[in-house]
Amino acid sequence: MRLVKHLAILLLFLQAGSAWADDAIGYIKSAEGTTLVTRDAETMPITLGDPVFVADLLIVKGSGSMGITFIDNSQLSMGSGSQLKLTSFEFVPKEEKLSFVTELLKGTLLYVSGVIAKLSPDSVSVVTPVATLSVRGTKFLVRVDD
Amino acid sequence: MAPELRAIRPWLAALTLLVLSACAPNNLFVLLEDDNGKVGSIQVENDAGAQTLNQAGQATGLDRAGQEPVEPFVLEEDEIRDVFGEVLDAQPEPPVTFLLYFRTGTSELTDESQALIPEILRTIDGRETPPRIAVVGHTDTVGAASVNASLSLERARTVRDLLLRQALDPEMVELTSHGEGNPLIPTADETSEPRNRRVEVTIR
Repeated sequence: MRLVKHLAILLLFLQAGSAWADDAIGYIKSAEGTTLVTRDAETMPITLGDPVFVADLLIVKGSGSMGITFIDNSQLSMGSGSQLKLTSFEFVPKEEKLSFVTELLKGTLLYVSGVIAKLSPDSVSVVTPVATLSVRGTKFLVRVDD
Repeated sequence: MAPELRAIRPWLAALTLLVLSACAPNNLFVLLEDDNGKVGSIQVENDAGAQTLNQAGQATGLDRAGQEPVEPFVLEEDEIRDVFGEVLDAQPEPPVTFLLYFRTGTSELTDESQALIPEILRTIDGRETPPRIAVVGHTDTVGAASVNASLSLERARTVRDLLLRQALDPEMVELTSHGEGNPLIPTADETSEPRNRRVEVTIR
């Protein structure tokens, strides 16, 4: 009986673990103009309601914008001609795995930080070609225009 | 307009642009007050130097790679909107979170929390875009972390099942659990804290 209980708990863990592995880290919640994603070396359109994943390169081509709400409640919005890479995202508080690194290659970004920045401020940063931002919260703007 | 004035007009325009660009570096970082009126802080750093912003409207920046971030300066609200209006308007509707509480060591909702379910469903209906609903279980720090990990999952399941019984599309709902690792109220280990024995339902 005890073995069965232990097995059941183990199964619970396995299930929770695999859910995280395939899961999206956020969803597109606003989109105007031509919005694209480069994923696994392929570039395709991305629109309202679509999921985003680690390593995605999000692109607003020409005039437009795109807003994403992440599963830790962070909200990132991009303006015209912007390119944003979702470099790393870990949100597993029970294993103390927390990090969120994005890279704004060009354009404009509105950043509203979420739970990851609250639990582990040292693991949140925005990289740009000219400087790196350490994020102690909560809302800020970036323009990269080299 | 006098001919000589007309002749210098393009120069005036260029001068205005120059003055504007002199105010704000090409690469620009601006700290804002958040939606709850709180101001955090960001540090902007490269090999040439670093600046910390910790007041609303404070900005720094640099024109070209390799330059040092300039001494922080304050941008007025209309100046911020001039540069960033489009991206400010693209911010999605903020997430809404409901907290549901449990009796110690169980996955039984308190009566008050049970009564919140209809309001959660109303909020889901009222969103601008079809929402994602995250149901996340948490515990306080009483008991072993491993037991709390499974208890937090059980709590999340209880709430998800309650929501699904109200004809919510299962595709919209995601279930997770944070064990004792994401307390609302930080406590020492082995601390009974009713506010940490919770399930958070976040509508994004």
